[in-house]
Amino acid sequence: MKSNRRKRNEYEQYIATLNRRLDDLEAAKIGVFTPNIYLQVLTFLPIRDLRTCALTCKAFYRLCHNRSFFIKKLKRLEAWDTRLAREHYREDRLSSQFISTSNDSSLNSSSFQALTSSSDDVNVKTEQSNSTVKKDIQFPVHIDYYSEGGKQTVIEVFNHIHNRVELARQDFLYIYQVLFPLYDDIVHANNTLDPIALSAFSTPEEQAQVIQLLVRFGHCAPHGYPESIESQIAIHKIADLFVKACLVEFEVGCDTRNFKMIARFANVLQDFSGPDTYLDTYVKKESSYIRSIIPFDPYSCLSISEDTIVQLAPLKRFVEQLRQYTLSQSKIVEKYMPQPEFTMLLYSREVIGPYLRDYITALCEHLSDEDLLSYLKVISGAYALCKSFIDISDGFVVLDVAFQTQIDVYMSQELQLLNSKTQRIVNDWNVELEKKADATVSVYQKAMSQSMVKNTFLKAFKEIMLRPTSLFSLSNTNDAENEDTLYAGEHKNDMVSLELTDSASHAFAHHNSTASMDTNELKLQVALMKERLSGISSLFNLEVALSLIHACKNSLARANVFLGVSASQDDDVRKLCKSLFITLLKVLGTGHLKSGFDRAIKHLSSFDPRNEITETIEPVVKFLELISVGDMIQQMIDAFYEEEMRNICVKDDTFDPAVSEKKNFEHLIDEKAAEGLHKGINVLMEHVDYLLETLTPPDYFATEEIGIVEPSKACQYVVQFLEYHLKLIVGCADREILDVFYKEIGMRLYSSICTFIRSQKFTTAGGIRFLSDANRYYQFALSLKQRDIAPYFKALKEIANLFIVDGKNSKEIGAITTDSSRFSVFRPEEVYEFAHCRSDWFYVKHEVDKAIYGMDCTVM
Amino acid sequence: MSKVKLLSSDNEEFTVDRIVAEKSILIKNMLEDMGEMNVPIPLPNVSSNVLRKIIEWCEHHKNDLYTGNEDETEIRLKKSTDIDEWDQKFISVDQEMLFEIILASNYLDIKPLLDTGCKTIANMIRGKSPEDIRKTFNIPNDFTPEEEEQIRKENEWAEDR
Repeated sequence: MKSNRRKRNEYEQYIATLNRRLDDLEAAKIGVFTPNIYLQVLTFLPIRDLRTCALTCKAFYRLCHNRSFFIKKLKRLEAWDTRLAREHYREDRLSSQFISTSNDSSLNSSSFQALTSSSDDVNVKTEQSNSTVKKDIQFPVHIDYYSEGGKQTVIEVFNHIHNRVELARQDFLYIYQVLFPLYDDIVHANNTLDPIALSAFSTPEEQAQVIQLLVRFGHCAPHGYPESIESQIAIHKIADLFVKACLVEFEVGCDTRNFKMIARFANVLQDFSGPDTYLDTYVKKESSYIRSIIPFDPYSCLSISEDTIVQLAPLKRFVEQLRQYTLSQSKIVEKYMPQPEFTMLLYSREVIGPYLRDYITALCEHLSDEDLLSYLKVISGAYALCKSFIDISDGFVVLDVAFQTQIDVYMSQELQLLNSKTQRIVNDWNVELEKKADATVSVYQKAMSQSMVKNTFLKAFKEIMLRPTSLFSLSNTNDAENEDTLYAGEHKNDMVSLELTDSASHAFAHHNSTASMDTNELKLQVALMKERLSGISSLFNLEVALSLIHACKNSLARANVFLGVSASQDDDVRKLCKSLFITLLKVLGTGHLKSGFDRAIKHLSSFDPRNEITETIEPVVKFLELISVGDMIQQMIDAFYEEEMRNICVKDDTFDPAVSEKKNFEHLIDEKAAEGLHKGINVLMEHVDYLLETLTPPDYFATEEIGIVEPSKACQYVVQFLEYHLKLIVGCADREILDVFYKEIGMRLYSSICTFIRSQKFTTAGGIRFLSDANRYYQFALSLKQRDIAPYFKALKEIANLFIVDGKNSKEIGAITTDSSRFSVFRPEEVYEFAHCRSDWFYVKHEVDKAIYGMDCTVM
Repeated sequence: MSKVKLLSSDNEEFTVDRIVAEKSILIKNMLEDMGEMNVPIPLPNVSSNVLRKIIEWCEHHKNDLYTGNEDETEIRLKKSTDIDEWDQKFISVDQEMLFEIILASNYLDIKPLLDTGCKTIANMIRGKSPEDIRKTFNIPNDFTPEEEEQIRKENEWAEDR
């Protein structure tokens, strides 16, 4: 209740306040409205009606002199700086404190003292006279527009703004009086020649200034009144006519190459309506001019001669001319044009760029249909040539405009080309292979120091890789053809004996015509390798790999030309390079190597190792060589990656598609190698078993005569056989794979021998024979350098000892059997089992058992 | 939505949505100061005819944004090439009603409506003689002939040629 009452109380107070406000408003009324309403009304009136209103009554007179009006109008004329005005106001306030306050009542600058001294305070403050402001302008202002002084006054009319609250009206009136006669004259003029604005001001520069002033002046009228709209339309019409006239002059200047004239009207138009109007014309004129002085001759690039499809010399000449012209033009622009930088930008974008683009488009239109490779070469070569534009300002724009449309096409085509080309190389080779399949005669290599040959080859390869390519040198245009005929036209080569080798190295030779010595070396190396690896030429081929890499390198070199111009383009180019690299790896890996490996593995699987005794097993040898070549190719790819892709890929970034594809590629080779090796081991070991079985004469170990103690024939064959194959793999696979491989061979050999022992009967003499075998095996095992397997072979020697012990010392046998220190790898039961292989086992069994199980057993 | 009651000078009570009433800055401020009120707000200088008219305007413009800052007023001035069509129709009333609306919107502090009214007035007096203007606004001529002469002289700057 209490709060309710208080609320009510508050409410009543509030209502009372409102009523007071109402009373105040009522008291302030002049006629029907309060002054603030009148003021608002006056804001919407043009100057002429203001004048009428000032005549109505004293109160209206004061309202019409309200400064806020004139400040508003000055603001519309963009002739009022609010910040400056505030500063002035503050300064005045400070200084006025020093002037005695008694002045207040008598001070007013208005001529109408009686009115301003009224106490009415509707925004009309008494104007403070300020000694710092000079009032030197006499009203009304009369100007002779045809005199120099008069013209000067008009042009400088806005320079006299004081930005002072108390002078706003005066400033505005001054502007009004100076400009209104001109404005009014134009609005009511009958034609464009009559107006004072154009007849008094005769030069285009002055006319531009005056017309601009008048357009600006037009803003001061209140908006929305038919008269002011009409007036503005009239002024704008004059302005348009003026611009048109200037443009005509400007065009004449362009046509006659009169730079002074161009400069003059460019400046006038620049000041009057900004750069767009005249630059448009300028660009058009310059476009046709440049086309008239620099000949457009893209077709001369397409001269038909025997070994070249395209010659870039005319293009080079054209680019150089264009560049020179641009440079000289930029000097002219610098000197004459009002906005040289913007003009040059436009010039590059609208004149030079399109001309270059037209040239290149014309050139390409005649190429892309017929010959993709030429197209790519031309685009890339042209881009390399045009890169000279980068040095000059806005050159990038020229490049961008000229190649914008081509670059995307280029990117996709380059990838497509590499794809189809590499596929074709692989396919051609496959076809070739099928043809030769019957004729292939296996010529196997003796064991050789492959790793050394490989190293020399790879060294030569890397050297070639490192050499900067001169793909686009104009003298080398027949490079294109040569590359094309690399595989398709090998019959052209006289040296059939070298077959592909020759053309491959030939390509390299071309590629590096400057480094002929090195290429010769590589050629030699390739030939050497080729000869040595002829055995596996039917599976996969070093030359194929080389030419695939070569194709990719060419593509990359072409793509690299586009680098270094802009960041976004660099990104695209990098993407392209990665795609190219990935394509290479895919075709080389999945397309070529994998099928080769698969064929070899199939061959391995179908091989019957128990067919005959051979020194070498052809599929295994082949496969080992295959691994060797695979490893070499992998190293080539490594070198290639280091050289070509290092700058493009982030190293070890697993998310990089190129890096991960490379990993996949390596993984593929490793996987296939491992798979093949696994099969290979099976085949090898089965053959070892076969060797052991077939080469050991029956009762070889059951003999009583010792004879010459040397390893058995079977043993020698086996060791020789294994050593041969193991040598082949050295240096062609990872150390890790080798270790696994050796260990596997060792273990498998060991178990084969164990099985073999169990199938034999041993006399003491046979034991000695076997001991020498076991020694040989042990020796072999040591040569494998696998610490883990040595104990097994050592144990084999101990097994031999088991047989050597004379049957009479059967207790000794039992002791040996249970001596676990001798047979670290066997359990006693196993040793016991081996003891069964003694030919006199039944005689010694009893004693041995006794030794093992103790005396009690026999009693039982 | 809360309602606000308004009481006209001839004691007619109007109930409107608060959002409508708040087009009047005066009422808006009051509501903010006083909180919810059950008692009607008396508007002793606004007759029910005029109040009805003003509420009509407020209803129509209730969703307009008006922040009331100076810059926006300036923009509004610049854009005021004409009065918007609905307002044009709305303001087509006899002079007495027009004056009442202007006075009421001034009191209630409804700036856009006041603007519209003032524009209409400005259109009315454009091209009129001082005498016509005096009649329109019911103001006496308090100039002496000499003073009038002096102002005419002073005004020469804007004289037609």
